[in-house]
Amino acid sequence: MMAAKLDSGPSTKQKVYQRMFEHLGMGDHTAVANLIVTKIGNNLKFWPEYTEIIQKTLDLLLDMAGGYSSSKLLLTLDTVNFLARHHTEDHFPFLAAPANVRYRTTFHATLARLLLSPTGTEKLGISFETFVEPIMNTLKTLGNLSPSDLRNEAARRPLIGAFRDLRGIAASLHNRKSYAMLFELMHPAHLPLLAKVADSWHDQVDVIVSLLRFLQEFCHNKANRVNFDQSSPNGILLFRTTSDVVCAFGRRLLASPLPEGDMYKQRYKCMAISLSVLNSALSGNYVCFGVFALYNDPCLENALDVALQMILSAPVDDVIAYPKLSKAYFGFVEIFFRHHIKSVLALETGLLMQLMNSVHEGLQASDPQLSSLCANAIDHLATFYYENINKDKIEMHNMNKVIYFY
Amino acid sequence: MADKRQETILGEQALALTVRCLNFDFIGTNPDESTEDVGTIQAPTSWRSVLQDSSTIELLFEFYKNTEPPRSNKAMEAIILLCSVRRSLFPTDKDRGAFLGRVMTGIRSLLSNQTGFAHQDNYHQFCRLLGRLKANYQLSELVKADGYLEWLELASSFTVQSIRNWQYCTNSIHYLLALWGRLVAAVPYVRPDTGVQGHAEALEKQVLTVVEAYIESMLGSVEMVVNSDGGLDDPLEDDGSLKEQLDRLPNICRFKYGDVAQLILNKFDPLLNQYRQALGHIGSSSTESAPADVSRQIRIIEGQLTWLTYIIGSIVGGHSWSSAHLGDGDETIDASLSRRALQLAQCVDYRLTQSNGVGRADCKLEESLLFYFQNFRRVYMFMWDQVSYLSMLNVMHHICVTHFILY
Repeated sequence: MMAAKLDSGPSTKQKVYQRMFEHLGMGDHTAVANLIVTKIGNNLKFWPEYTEIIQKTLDLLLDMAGGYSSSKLLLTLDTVNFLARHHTEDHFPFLAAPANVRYRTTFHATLARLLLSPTGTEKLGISFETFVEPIMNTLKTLGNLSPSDLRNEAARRPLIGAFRDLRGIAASLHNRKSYAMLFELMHPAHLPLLAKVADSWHDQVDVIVSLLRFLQEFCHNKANRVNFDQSSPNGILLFRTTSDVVCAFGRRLLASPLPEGDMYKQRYKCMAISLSVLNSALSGNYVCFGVFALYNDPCLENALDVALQMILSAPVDDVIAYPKLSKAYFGFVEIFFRHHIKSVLALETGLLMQLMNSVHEGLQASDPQLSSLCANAIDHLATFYYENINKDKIEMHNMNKVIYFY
Repeated sequence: MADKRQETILGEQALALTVRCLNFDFIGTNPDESTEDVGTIQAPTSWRSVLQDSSTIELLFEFYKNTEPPRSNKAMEAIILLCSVRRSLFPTDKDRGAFLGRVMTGIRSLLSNQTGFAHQDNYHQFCRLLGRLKANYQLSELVKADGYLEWLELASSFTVQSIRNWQYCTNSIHYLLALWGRLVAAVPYVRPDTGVQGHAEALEKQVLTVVEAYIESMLGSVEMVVNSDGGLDDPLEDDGSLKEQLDRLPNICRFKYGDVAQLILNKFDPLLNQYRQALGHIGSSSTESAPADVSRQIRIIEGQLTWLTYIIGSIVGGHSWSSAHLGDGDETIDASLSRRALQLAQCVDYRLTQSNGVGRADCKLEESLLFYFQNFRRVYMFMWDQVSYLSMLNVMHHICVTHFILY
């Protein structure tokens, strides 16, 4: 009886499925998948300047690579093999078309996802290192340039391309092993380049956005992937790089005059992304922030300082007017109050009041996400006050001073 | 009234006020007022006597008939809102039925006389009214209303006429398709003995008429657009309306799926043959470099195949894996339609690669193929994950059982 149950034939769904492919008369599932994926490859090859087609084609590839069995199937197809070995502008001119720049990310995210799936490297016959080699070579060339050559117009496209590609790859790293592979390749060889680019290209939105978006992905600890051995300094090194980039860009931004044109595009957009980068790094749980003060490393202090200056440089009305900015802004404020309350209470009274004023404004925002960030910030402050109410601490003195004055 | 002008202004203001009142978000469920689709109107019970009073809706219909836009279409908007008033406002089903009867009579009279349809604004609002009617009333209620069959036939010929004149009403077609989609979707929930005799057959017949008109007109639109040399907007380039229309198709077309599929195949097969022949003539050169008449012919065929591919993509994408539909054998029809789309894809791809990228099909055709692939992938390729998982389990069970028997 047990055997009968276990040995039951194909389910109704399977029968329907088989009947469909029989009637189709175009071969089995693999043959049809091959037809579609071949079409995908040819579209990418022969329609480089048609953004619509490129976008829809890449969306299709991404969706086909989504399932477990279907990604396994895709790995066996010649077209996918070719794509994984030749994902450069030389073979796929669509990558070079400026209008397609955002699709570089999708393309590399999909390929990396396929490569990193359980039997990916085996079936494709290439290692992760070989896969990213063209990008690493670009970074190497860029890293060897003198400061003036790095800021040369000729470097713009390669920089944007490399960061977009890397962002896609980083987005497909879902565990500590694959994350470590990319980290090993980036550190120590290429991480210093990031801050150099942030400094020299600070006024060029397209370059800065692609740099910061990559870094935001790279320092985002999703699925606890940024998880190194206990004895490894990598988490700290990653934070140092993040701090260097945010500081280099932030200082330049603060020193430059207010733009004449679109404030959001010219100033707030990059400010918002750099704050988000820092938010990812500060809330990633892979750095013990106490070590910086202990070993006199100023990188945490610098990052907080630059972020705070950026925040205080933006009028509250502007912050509320731009949703992406307000999310990054109050996200930072919340983390600042959560993890670094002592730095908050070390602020000069005027600055602290300015910050609290923003929190007050944010509390009344109609977006529940914003108002709860602000409510949490106040909660952190009140908790600290309550827990230390009768203690003789410098922070409490500062706080009492504020309360006394206002 | 003092003078004509004042009367006009007063009428306009009164209607605007009526619409604003009925549109009020009574229970705070619709904070976004920008959408054109009204849900159920939660009017307070104290409004019952006015809303239910037959003279209210008749007044609005009268006003519509006797005025010009912007007053007439405002009156129509008010009628749409009245038709969307919550069910529980009416004390009994009979009262609600009577109300529906008055609306249907009003609509029938407008349909038979084509009152005011020459105005684009009136026309658009009327299409919305038709689409809205089924949304707030159930088919079982409609079939019981007086003159349902007549209403059905009038609505069908109105739809067919609108679809044939697609160039004037691209934005309204999806409201009409929505009506048919909703009618069709409700069929399983209506007992055959409810309402007027033969209503189910009548609906089947009218739906087929509508689908046929739709396919014919859209294929016909291609040649008109090509001949107009830029004078007509290509409905294939109106992404918004195209998507709205395609969204409605699976429901409508799968209702009498065998017949609809045959309609499509009868168009598709000759077109694909003509396409292959035309491509054979021009070899590996581009469509533009071919002689004018050949390139014109290719553009028309490609446009028509684009429509058919979109239609096939949307219908196949409507395949359902729910157990209620598994036994109906529709997957074999999906297969015949898919076979054509895949053959077309091969044909287009062959030309593209053989000519090293010179012989490109129209980019809209390529986009429609991608649309088809996405739909096919979503309903069938996606199943592969489950099917292969199941067969893997089966194999494992086999091994276990063998193991069990041997030892």
